[in-house]
Amino acid sequence: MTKRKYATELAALRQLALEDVVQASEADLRGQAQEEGVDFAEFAETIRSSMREAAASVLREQLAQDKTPLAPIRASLRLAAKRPPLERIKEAIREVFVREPKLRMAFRDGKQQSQSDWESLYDDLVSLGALTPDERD
Amino acid sequence: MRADEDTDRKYATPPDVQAAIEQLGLSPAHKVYRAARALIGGSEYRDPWELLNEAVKRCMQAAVGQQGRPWPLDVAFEAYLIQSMEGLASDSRDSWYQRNHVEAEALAIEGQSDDEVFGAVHSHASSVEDTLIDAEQQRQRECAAEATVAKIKVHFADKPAVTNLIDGKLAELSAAEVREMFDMTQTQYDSAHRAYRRGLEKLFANGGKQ
Repeated sequence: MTKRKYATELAALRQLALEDVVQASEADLRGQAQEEGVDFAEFAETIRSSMREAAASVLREQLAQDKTPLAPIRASLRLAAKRPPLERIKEAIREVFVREPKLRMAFRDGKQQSQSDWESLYDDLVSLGALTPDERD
Repeated sequence: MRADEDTDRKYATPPDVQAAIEQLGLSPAHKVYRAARALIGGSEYRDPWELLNEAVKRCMQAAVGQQGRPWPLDVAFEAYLIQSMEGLASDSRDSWYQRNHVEAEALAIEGQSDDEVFGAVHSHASSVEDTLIDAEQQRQRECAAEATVAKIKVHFADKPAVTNLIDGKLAELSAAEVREMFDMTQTQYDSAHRAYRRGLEKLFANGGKQ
């Protein structure tokens, strides 16, 4: 089987149908609705109503999230409070990399790492579960 | 876009999306619905409403700053929605790409030393198991696509004009080339095109996966 041959064909066949949808005149759309026993204006409102509700559901979810903005900040503060001194952070990170060869990092060419770089990396490794704060601290 | 707002914006805000829905005309509304009906065949979506609503949600999610599909304001809303639904129906190609792209960015290095070290991008490297699962999912998607293409071809087998259109599309011919090759008038071509789209809608009227 050629890789993605049929997925590509299916995409082309969908595209063929879409070309007709885009070109369809109002008369054609009305004719099809009539054949299906659908009131043209009423069904358009049903479509808009469904879209309206879909859009509103995202806004409701966003609103619910906005009501708890302190949760991630609190988690971050808890993590910061558990951090060991900088030298121990560096040591712990090097140990993790030796112990977990699957962990990989992108390289920042020869630049000095700031204290916050080390701390944020330490926090991320703790979040990933690759490093336990109280292992030796 | 509302006249009282920043005209330099490229992408829609929540009020833009809400206004576009309210202002969607009769024909454009029917077009997006018809497009959803034509697209669900072979997709993960059970009905056109599910696909259309997902496209609207992705649009609004991007508008509120979440991960989604931003609506560029220089594109007509219905055209954007149809494009977005096409992408969604074409399965999880995007999410598959994104997942692998992120992993590809997390490059391996050796011999880190003290402060001359690593930057901000990091990740668990993909395991052999993950790669095998991805390959299996790809294979399953390809098998499902093969079945859907076969189903479409069989459905129109007794309609030679539609079959010509399908063959022409799969051979990447333009509409003019299809008409010339199969000796079709513009009217015959348009009629076959409409019959194909309507037939496709009916074929998958009860769900994308059937």
